[in-house]
Amino acid sequence: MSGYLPIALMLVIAALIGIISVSIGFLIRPRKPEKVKLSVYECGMPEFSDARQRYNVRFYVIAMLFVIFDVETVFLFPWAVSFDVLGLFGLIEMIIFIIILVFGYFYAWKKGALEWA
Amino acid sequence: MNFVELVNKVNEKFPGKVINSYEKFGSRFIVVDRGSFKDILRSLKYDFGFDYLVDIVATHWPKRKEKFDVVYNLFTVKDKFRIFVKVAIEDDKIESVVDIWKGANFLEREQYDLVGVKFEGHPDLRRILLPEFFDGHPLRKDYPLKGRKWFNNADEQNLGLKFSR
Amino acid sequence: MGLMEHKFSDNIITATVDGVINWARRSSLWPVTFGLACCAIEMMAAGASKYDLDRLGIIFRATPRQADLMIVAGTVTRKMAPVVRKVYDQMPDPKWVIAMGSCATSGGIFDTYSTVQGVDEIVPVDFYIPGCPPRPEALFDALVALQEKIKSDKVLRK
Repeated sequence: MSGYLPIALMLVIAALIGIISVSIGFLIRPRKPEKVKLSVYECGMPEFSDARQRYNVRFYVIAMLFVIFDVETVFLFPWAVSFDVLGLFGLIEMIIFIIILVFGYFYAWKKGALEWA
Repeated sequence: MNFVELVNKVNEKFPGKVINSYEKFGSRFIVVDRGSFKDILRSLKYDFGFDYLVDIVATHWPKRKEKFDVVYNLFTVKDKFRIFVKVAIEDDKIESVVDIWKGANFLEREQYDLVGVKFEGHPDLRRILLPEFFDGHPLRKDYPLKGRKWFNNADEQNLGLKFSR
Repeated sequence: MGLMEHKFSDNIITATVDGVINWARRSSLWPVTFGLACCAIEMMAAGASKYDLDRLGIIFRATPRQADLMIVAGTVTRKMAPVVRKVYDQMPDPKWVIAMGSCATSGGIFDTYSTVQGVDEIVPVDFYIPGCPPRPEALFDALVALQEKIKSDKVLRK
């Protein structure tokens, strides 16, 4: 149990450093809020519109497809790292995996998920 | 392309419409008639290959009968040949050439903004460099050089700015 | 007003704390990047490796929210004036302004229809640098003078 004492001490010190530096700033800083100071920074120009607008729902489909095919790359990395161990078996497995994904890609294409208009 | 040849050809096409042509300061100038300047410019683009309208410059001559000169700076990309076509106008109105060169849009807006020449037929003739609340046209010779009265015409962003100098 | 700002009497403790605060402020003057004309080239030269503003703790910030110094480098036109003012307004306190070059201080040679005759018509200016454009050494002189000025600021003291 005593082995954890340094860690507990470090946690306390880390928390104190954060709390002290933030509270010193809070105590001594000047505070002069005003309308212009709190306004949106747009290089000094008046902003055209609010940044939080509605986006086209098609971005959602694109994002979903990106996530799906991104997983492909995630699986490719560990395979590529241990390629020399897996050998021909691993290569064929990966080709099969990519072929399945390519089928999925063509399916999404055929369904019109990549069409914008 | 040769300048004398070009002037002769334009003169053949539009007899009597080329008032003057000269080379000065290493540049080539053609002064053309007010009435048919647009036909000449169109012909220069489509028959002589001046496909690039580099600039439009208007100058103010308050003591002359023709109050304004409008100078079209034309260039052929193919022959790398540059000419200046000058038109003198009595009032501040001239026909727009946006239908010949699309790029004339901003150039004519600039000249309208600074010199106050009104280009008739321009699709969107409003100020381009100066703010909307500016009075007058600063590059006219009768505009006061230190005319800063317009500074307080508007407070665009409601910041409470006041100018005194 | 801050919670503790200008609330304490002048004694050795508050003077020492003020000294520490001022040391921190003057050692990390972060100017907002605000180049308007050719003076900005000299400002960039002052920031680059030969003159090296970083050795004074001066790092250019691309947003006024992180800056406490505005170096107005160049001609301020009437159309740009509200922009200068708004960027200044959006900077957090404490903030300082250096007018760099003849145009920013007085309009310079541009005594014309479009130029603001001195940026002090828009924002309060702490230091004026003459020159057209001023050399980086002149900018350094103003920055060191500003650091000297911050040294004598009263933060906690009344």
